[in-house]
Amino acid sequence: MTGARLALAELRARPGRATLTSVGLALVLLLALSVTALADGLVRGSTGVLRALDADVVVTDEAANHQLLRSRLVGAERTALLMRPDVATAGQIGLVPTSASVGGGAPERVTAVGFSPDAPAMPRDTVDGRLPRPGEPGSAAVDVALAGGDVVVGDTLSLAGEREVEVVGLVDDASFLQQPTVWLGQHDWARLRQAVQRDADYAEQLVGATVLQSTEHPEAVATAITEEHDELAVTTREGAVAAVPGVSAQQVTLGAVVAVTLAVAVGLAALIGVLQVLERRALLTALRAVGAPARTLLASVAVRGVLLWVGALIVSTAATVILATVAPPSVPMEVRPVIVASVGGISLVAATLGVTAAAWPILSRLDPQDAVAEEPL
Amino acid sequence: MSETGVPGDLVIRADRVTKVYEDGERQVTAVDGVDLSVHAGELVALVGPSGSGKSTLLALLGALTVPTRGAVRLGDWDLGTLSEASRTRLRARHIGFVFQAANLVPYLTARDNVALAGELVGASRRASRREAEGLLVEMGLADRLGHLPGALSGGERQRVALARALLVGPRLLLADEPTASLDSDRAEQVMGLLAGAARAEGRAGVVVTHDPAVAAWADRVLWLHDSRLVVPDGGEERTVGEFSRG
Amino acid sequence: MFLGLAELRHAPGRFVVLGVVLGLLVALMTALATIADRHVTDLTGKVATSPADLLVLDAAAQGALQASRIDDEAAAHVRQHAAGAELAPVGEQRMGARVADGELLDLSLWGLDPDSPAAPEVIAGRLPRQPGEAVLDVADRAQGAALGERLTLVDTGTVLEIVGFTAEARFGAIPTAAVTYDAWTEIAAEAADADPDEVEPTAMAVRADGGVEELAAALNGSSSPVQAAPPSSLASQLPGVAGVRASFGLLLGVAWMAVAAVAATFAVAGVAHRQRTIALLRAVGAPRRRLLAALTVQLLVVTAVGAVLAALLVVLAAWLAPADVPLRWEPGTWAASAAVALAATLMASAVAVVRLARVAPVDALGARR
Repeated sequence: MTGARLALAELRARPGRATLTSVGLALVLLLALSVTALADGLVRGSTGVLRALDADVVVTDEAANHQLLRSRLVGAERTALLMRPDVATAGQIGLVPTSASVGGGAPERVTAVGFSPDAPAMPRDTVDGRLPRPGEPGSAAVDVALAGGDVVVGDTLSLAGEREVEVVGLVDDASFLQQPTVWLGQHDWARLRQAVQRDADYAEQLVGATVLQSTEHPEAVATAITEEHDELAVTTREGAVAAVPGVSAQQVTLGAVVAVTLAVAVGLAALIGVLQVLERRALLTALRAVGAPARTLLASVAVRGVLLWVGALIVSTAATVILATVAPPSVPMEVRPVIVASVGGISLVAATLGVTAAAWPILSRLDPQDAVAEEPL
Repeated sequence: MSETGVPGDLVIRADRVTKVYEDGERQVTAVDGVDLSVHAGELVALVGPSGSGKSTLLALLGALTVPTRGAVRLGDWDLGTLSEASRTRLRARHIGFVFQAANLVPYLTARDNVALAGELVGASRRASRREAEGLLVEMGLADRLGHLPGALSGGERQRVALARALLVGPRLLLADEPTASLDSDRAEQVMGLLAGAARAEGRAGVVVTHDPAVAAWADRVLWLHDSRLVVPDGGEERTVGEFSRG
Repeated sequence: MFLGLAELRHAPGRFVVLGVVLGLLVALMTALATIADRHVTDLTGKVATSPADLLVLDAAAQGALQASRIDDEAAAHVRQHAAGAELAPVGEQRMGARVADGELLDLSLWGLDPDSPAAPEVIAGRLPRQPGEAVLDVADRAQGAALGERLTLVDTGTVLEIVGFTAEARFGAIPTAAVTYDAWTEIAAEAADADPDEVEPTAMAVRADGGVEELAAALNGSSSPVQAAPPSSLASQLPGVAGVRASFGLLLGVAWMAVAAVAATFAVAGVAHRQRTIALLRAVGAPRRRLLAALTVQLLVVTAVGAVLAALLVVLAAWLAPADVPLRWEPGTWAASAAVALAATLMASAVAVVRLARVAPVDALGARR
């Protein structure tokens, strides 16, 4: 505890000295948090549709290879799959890219999601209102991200400039490929698809993917269906999330960027450890001379480093939140507590190791005799 | 005194010099109305208890700081009226320093520490190193040219510092407790070199010390107490024995 | 300069640590800039490299090619306002595909007529001229693609022969292939169980015989059913592009500030740590600019070493990176990142001036100022 007291006393006595170091640390942490928040936001913004569903297995046609947009399954597969003992319920969803405008405003790109009234095909939660009911044409539930969050229940939505629907509910965190979604009953969806893809076959049914709730482990169910049906591509919901275009590449790429940023953080921590010792060499030598063991001094250096780190983490978290708020809407940063906790936790451990590993070799070589040497060099 | 015993030209002169500094909200007078003249060929010792203002007076004479009141003249220059850049140039060309501690740049060899003084006045590195080597050999350090300060003894370091101070042939040599951390034999050796250098070639020297043995090397001993010269310069001077009795 | 380098030689440890930190940051900046560039190229290449003067989309698609269909009304509008210009239909459709018997790929299949404003440039082989022929993006040679090899469209079972390669022509971050427009119409109709006559072009390519801007303005007139823009402009409006640019720009900005702050931390701490030596040097007549120059030389040398380290790291990372990570060694991007880091370092040494100014020559004496 002597080490901690020494560190706290110095920080209290000379807070200015720590300022610039904290700024450097805070910027590196800001970088780590921003990249992580961006990676998270990109993945979540691309996969909200899948995560919003209460399904654990996703089935597309074989050619679509788990891509929801390309899948052309119709109701027949759903019916066949429902007969299986390892499938509890099944639903159908279809996706079509289009545009939407709220109350005559500027149109924006959206993905229209048609869903059958079955549990696995419906968003689990609505944040306001409800989902369109079967046999209720002209109604839609929309992603709260639409129109910059200015859409409310009761608004009228123009889809592709051709079909108007009334907003009856709002869903959250349900976007697809960074675009807000509009959830439609199958009749509205089929007509919209016919309007925007005039070459597409018109049918009063959903053309897309089948989603399931399984009675056994989803991976086992996916494997079993795949083995029995060559014409289908079956995966777990997590597998379908990873198969969304760009998601796995973004995860690998930005994951590597986060790893390098954390390596920078460790290097920086080591640098701070070295500088802390060098800057205080005379004082630390004097403390060694009056009987402070090297490990106490190491503890004081480590505690000081950790305190700086915690301060920098608080500042960088605030800065990341501000950055996410002021960034243009095209930057999908999401600062969730789990991100701050994981980046903060990992970097703290890494930083403590960095500071102590770098400071120890110098501290252990400090010679108490130098405190009474002829000339400090 | 010069070797002939006749005072040479005036090298440095302080007229009613006062230095006041701020210590928090308090004003402290470190040097108070000191008059002082040092002539060529003369070595003057400034003695006095800790806090008496010796080092501040040395800083004023060495253009390291400027007086609050009064004037310090080195030759024709009034040091208090010079810009900081001019004082820096003046120190490099005309004043040699030997400090008590942190006297050498720790990451330069003995030769490069000395040569640095030449480079600071625009001499080429090569010529400066050649001259530095010559001086260090004269000081008995021929086998220590390439050593870093950390590998030198205290006495060797002070001799290197003296070589650096003398390299450009300064008019004024200032030393602050130059033997404080040396044993008597080494102190004797360093002071012998320093006193010889201070009196040579129309140069003047001022040494600040607590040590009567060092003061004994001086031609005159001036005693400071409570920021003032107890025996004003030009008055009757105390002997070393009187000084040592306080 | 000598002073700065002498200290570097004397105590290399802390400079090495700083060099590693700066090297990692420069590597990070290089990687971020490269990834951003490659992401944008992968998202937009096929559009951006179109030789057409203008591409025309359905206005309701809001720049998203996948949501665009040029119907009769839109086509008539284009013909009316672009009289004299050369027009060609463009088709785009996502499909599953296999090169030879390789893995199932997501493929963006384009219908582009040779000898038309939409015809892509090939870097090897030739353009497809009849059904059953296709050109593929050269990036997908890694999938086993070669001239004469089979490309099978899984949705329809269509087998195409690869007769040429295009470059920098990915779209939506997936491989692209191009067939003649008529062949594309047949394939799209078969995939949708539709009649080929019902298949509408996704877009139109225009080669203007006069002012491109005037033609675009005419096509984009008020309540126009279409949106016309040069390929490069349209590419930057495609979904995801603005997000990638803004996101990575933001990260690069933060990384740059981190470089400056790290270098400044080191510079300022360095002045504090060497206070007595600096005071000594000032006392014996070293001007501040000389000391600052020594510090700057140290930082520049360390940053330069860091930049070289960064180059090695990026080359290594590009070599080890999985195929779907768009990281490549691009010397220009590295040089730009290194230059930006050097600029940040120079700024950092300017910060140290403040601290340096506080060290007075009189400190060498331990006397009061």
